[in-house]
Amino acid sequence: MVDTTANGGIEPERQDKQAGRAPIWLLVLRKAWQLRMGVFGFLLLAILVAMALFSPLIATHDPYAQDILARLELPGFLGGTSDHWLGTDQLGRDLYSRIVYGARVSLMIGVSAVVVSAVIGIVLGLLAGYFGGWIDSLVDFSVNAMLAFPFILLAMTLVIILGASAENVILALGISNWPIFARVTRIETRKLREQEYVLAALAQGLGHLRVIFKHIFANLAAPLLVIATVEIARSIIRETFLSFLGLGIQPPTPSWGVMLAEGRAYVLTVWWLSTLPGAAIFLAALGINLVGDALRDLLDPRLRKG
Amino acid sequence: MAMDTTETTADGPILEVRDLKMYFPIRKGLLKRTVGHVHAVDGVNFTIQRGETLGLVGESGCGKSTVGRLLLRLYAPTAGEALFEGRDLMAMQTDELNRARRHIQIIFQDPFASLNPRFRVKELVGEAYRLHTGDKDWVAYVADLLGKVGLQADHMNRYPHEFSGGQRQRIGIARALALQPRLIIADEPVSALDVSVQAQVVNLLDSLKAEFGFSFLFISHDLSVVEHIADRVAVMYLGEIVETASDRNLYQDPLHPYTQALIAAVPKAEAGAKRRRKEVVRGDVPSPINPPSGCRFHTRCPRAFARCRSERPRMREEKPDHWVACHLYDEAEHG
Repeated sequence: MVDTTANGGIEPERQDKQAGRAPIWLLVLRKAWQLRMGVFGFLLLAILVAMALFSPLIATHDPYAQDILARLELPGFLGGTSDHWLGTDQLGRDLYSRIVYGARVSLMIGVSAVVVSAVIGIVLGLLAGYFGGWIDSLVDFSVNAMLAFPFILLAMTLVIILGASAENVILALGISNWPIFARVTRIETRKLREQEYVLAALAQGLGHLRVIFKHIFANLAAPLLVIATVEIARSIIRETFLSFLGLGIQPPTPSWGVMLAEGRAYVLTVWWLSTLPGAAIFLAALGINLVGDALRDLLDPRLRKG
Repeated sequence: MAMDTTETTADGPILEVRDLKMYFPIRKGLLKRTVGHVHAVDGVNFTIQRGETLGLVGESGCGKSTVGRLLLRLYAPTAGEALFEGRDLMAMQTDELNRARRHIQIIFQDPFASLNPRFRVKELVGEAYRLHTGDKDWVAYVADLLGKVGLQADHMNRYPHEFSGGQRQRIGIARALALQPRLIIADEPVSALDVSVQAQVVNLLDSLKAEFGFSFLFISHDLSVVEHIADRVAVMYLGEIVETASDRNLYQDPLHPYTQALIAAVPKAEAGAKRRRKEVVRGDVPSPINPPSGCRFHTRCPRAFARCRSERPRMREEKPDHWVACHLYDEAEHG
């Protein structure tokens, strides 16, 4: 939340002129250093992004190459001797390389789904909060109706209707998750709508679009960024969920959810087949959540002072 | 400075407010049913002459800020007219209203909430000017304005949080001036400031008024500030105006018991100031949801009698250009 009155009453002459000067990335790093968990989060996120961007360089094998003679090889840390350091799966594909390429799928779907839901939710939330009236009632009702509906059921229904593919998973996740953005945007917009600087802009005869974007949305961007970060992590988990159920990414594409599902049959004997992608999901979501926490602390003016 | 000045009509008052009403609905329950109304402004009339400063005074919650915001149509009024240069602001369509708004500007009370924290000073002050005029030299124009309100041109690239309360209020004043309005509404422009800074800002407003020649509606709860700046004063109580007079008449010879009590409550600083018998008003302002019957002040008035409880007093010109709404003066005339 952007609380402009957090500094209390009126201070006769404020001298902290540096506060607005330092570049934002420097402040991010500084705060991250203060919060060790933030550092850990940034590290995990950096690994995730690097894996996604440079998969061909980081992977040791072709993630699709099958080697029937080298199926279910032991990983190196369990005494395996092959050149597959995390072993191979039931079709002899290199597990490590598949996890690396899986990061690409996860991140792509997580980010795209959040972009879809953020665009829908923010636009509706701004309109509802700014204009009020019947638009507001309609959006408010839709948000409540959507939130009352079990999320995974909705996403599953959508994927079944649209057909299982990466694009449709993004669409399904995006459509079923916009209420989160709409709700926050709507409430914050209603508050800002009454702020005197917004009234001043209206009093100056500025158009609604300009007031909405320059005076309201610009002051909402920070809290929405925090929500978006956390929602990326949730979307990644939801993608694996859909893929695990066979409704998401289809084999042989290396998705962590698909790998989890494929390893399920061997979980009692070749346990690492599902455990390692599971650990990847866990670490990715953890990293993004920690970064989200750090961002929230950083962007809250009351915490920034301390 | 290609400001649009074609709409000026030369004579007549700049603003004439007639029977302005604003009832805010109170909504409750799942279906948002209206269960009552806050009678924030209830039939207000006043006139501002060209070049005049009208002070609008009253306790907090009496509706004086709502009047200011209504004049810019920041709320949709329940009823009434506000003729700005002869044309009713309350009946205007969006485009016409947006054009009219450029000639009426507002200065807000809270210098922290009234400036967009994401804007630099030059955008804060120059945004509307640049968009409305398309002036390529808008930055120079802003620099010039900053000088006039006592800031420096090199403050232009700073953000509001880098300034003190008084400086921020100066930025707000520069923003209001940027469109060269013919009427400025100042809603408690100094009550959030330190006393030492208040005087500076009031004096600044006074001299800017002389320089720019705008008419001025000065809303305040502080009678001493209003006395300093206003030509005429209107006293507001619970959504109604109870007395209007020139600055001098009102302070030296207040007629309405409420005005008398307000003036008696102003602390006097001069040595040997005469101690007036203080008719202090008792109790709190009644709720504007269910305002008292008859004269709204009767619940607190030291001189109320039976008629005050039943009949709403009308505005009458008790002395030349000195209007009051009080039954005491009907009595004097009829009995």
